[in-house]
Amino acid sequence: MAIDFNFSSAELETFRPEAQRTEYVVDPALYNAVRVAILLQQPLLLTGEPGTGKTRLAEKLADDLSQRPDSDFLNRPLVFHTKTTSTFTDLFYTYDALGHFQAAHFDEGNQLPPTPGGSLTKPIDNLLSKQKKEVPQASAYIQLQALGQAILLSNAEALADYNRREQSYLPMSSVPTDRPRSTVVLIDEVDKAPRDFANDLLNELDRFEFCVREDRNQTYCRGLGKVIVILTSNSEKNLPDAFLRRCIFYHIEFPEKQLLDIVVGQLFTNSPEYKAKKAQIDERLKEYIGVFMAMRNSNPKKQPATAELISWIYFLREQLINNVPYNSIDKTIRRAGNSILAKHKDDLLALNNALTE
Amino acid sequence: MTTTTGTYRPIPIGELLEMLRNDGFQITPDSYRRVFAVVNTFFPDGLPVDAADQPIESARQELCQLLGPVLVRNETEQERFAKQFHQLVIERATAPPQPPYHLLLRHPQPGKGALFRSFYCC
Repeated sequence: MAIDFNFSSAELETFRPEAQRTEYVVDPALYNAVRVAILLQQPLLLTGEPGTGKTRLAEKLADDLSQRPDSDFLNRPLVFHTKTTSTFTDLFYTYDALGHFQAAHFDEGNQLPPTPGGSLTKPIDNLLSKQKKEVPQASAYIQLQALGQAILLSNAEALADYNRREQSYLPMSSVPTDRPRSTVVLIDEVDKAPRDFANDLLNELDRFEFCVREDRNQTYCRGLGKVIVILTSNSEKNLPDAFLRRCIFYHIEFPEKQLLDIVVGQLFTNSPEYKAKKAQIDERLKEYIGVFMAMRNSNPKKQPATAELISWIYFLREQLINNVPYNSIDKTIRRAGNSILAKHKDDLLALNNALTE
Repeated sequence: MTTTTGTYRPIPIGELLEMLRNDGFQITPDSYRRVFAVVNTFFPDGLPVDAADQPIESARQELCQLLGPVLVRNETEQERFAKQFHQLVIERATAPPQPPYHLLLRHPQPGKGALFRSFYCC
């Protein structure tokens, strides 16, 4: 039997990740690490289990800083997602060399690439005929990336020049360039990149300066605006000592139960039911968090983190509001909930087996 | 040496960094610069103490959380730092003030007249 996906718009609305978002609760130790990073103007390197809120800290910081009176901060972080193939220049800009080559030699005049049965010498003919034609500027194939954008935005003079050149690079996606700004830059999962990535960054992170080789060595350096850099790592690879020495380091531990109560409790604080049945919901929430902690401490192959807890509690919110003890929840619902907590098939099996016992 | 002045107690930065170095932390001249910058900004008068001359717990915790990220490089060091820091600050808070033996040319044992004798011997 064929099944069509036919969700109501209300259901789809619920599926949006933003709907499950809670206000980010900053641990005092993490808050102090951020203060130090801002004071010393050094990158803040965050490690911790996936799901403990490393990435979301940057969003929270950018949002909070932008709301200060007379703030010039952008209200969201400029994000660079590190890849296994990333090189340090990717953090500042990318240059589409292949696109540039194609535009210079093949695009103009609508010459088509050779087709089966067509002339194989045509591309070469095109190359020869292009020799006297104007070659497109390399700058049209350059796009500034997170740290490059941040440095440009921090420098009024460079930004004015950039705007005067009619934004000669490829557009910076949804980054306003109308005035200089301070920014928060998130370099996510820096440990994914090859070891040289971190080593190559040492000078650039010290001086906040970079050069676009393909654009006649155009150099950009940080201006009066602030650039706060947050790096995250899942500790899959060790980072070089020289790099670590230049960072402010903080390992986000799994939150203590008291902090968990606050984090998860925020899912309900705005709901009318919570206001009416606060004590009852708080009590039930403690029971559910206890179930979660028992699962976390049962030595699973992959421990669920704060993000999983939030999603799980959000999934069980109706039962929570209706004061249903965890063991009285319908097994189908509990089984579905298990799939949020378990990240390994053995863990899921163990959780589901526990339901049948 | 730790003495109290008013409601503040000097922060034993030198001892802390030496202790960490002995424990295997990589303490460089830059570590000193960064630590002094943090302390001068957030605790310019020293560590506040209560009426019983003990460091105020919240301030001690805050100082630990401010200095830790500057000096540690991994999760294990973060844990070890907190232990070392609290141990040192608590020890200093409970121990009576000591003369600056390390500044003297000779190192007499603590005892009656030992300090002054060392001055005359120099």
